[in-house]
Amino acid sequence: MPYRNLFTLCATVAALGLSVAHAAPDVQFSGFLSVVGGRVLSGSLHGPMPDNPDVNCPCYIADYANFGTYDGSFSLAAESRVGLQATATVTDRFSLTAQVTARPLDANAQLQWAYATFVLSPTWDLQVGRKRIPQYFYSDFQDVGMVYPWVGLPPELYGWDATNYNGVSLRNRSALGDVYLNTSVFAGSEQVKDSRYMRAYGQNHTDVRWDNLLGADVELSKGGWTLRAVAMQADTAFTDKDDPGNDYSEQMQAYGLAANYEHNNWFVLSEIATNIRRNQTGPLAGVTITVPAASIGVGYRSGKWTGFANYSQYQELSSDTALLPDNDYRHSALMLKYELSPRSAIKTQLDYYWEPGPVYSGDARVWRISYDRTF
Amino acid sequence: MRRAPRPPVFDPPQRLGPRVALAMLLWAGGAQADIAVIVHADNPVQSLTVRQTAELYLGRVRTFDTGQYAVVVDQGRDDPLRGRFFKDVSGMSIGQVTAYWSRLQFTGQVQPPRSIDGDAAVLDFVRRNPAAIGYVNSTAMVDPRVKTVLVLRE
Repeated sequence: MPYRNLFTLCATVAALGLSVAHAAPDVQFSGFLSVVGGRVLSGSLHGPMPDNPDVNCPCYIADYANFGTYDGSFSLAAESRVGLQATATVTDRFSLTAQVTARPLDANAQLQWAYATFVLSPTWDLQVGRKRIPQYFYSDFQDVGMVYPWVGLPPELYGWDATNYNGVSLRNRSALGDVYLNTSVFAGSEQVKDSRYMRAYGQNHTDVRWDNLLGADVELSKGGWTLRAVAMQADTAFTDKDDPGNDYSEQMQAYGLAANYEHNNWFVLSEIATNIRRNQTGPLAGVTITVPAASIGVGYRSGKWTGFANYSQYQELSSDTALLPDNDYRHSALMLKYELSPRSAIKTQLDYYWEPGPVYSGDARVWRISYDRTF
Repeated sequence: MRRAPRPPVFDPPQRLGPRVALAMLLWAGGAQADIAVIVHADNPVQSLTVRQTAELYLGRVRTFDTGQYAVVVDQGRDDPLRGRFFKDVSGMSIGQVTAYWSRLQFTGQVQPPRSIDGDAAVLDFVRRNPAAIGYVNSTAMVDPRVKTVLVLRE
């Protein structure tokens, strides 16, 4: 199956390149690859995972959006991916970009990005089409493993049922003295057929809709500092084609604040977020779930080596604990990265994940290793 | 004829003592040339600062001070000159530059400068494009159809 994915991917990108090449000769191809392997070393649960008996525990869910899971056997399937991007610059004010990714977990290559960029002025861009939701700091480039120190981003912040949207975004890039500002507003909607995310709850045929997605973000960078704030909202709906009793809808808001700092060889990556989900219909109608999440990591670079330690957590605070108890997931991780070249690296990561509240997938110790590159 | 001002230098030459001069002579075999940042001869821009150059090469601005959109060209990805250039203008290593551009490129914000291999090809591109900006070893700069707007001293 992975080979079929790759073939589909290559064929799609080649077709894109050929089609745009007729319109304009200036087509740039680029891409990224992450081959990620790992296994659970030990865990507190043994046997089928309570919410999804297809998963054997001890287990660990590394990628919620694609339901990439590890168990006691070494696997390359959970998080590996390859992406190819083509950008056709039609004029200096207009370009077309498409990006497809393929994963062993998915039989079909996915069109992650397909948008037109209109350069309105030296500082304003308008983009129309399909893009990644820029929810938190790494959300819109979370597939590009070469860019960050983790083997896998903390799922406490980066585990969502929708990662893309179809719509429009307006971006401004400007400077105030020596502070660089990068601001955008975005709006659109998304529909996910047979969401892989919902398999985490044992639902194999649930469609997810995000309507009225509206958000804004601002990023400031000065010297070694990068600060980013984001606010967004969406009306979400979940339709279980196997059991309508599971259907529900929410009004969702999300807020995030990231602060990154680099000084000499040291760097700090931190992010806090709050997600508020007001259940409109379904078994939890009227219940509001408030989800504070946070991640903080400290790293040190020495030549080609980078060491990094991170702590992250995710809580669900329910307005009605009789209907839905509070949940609490914690996660610490140690990473080591060796840069083979400016565009490729080997990374390894040890995770310790634990659940102080009700048991979901159980505590787990996980080992992962990756080869990441961009091209 | 109005004489063009001399291009600014990043690291102004200092008066050298005899010991330093001797040491430089001894190292002359391994010495590297200065880097010349160049634009088309018809470009009204006469000089750029290190910061302005960094802003163009990091995609933070798209235009020259004159308001003209800049066509930014980079040297080949693995050219040693590229490492020296980005270290000088931004303080970033090539690994950091690659990560910086990967984020912008794969999130659709800005496309990186186009890559052209070698001084001769960069010079040729700049001489044929009035909006272009590039950089080359200063020893390669013998073309009246391009002009130097910044020199990064080695």
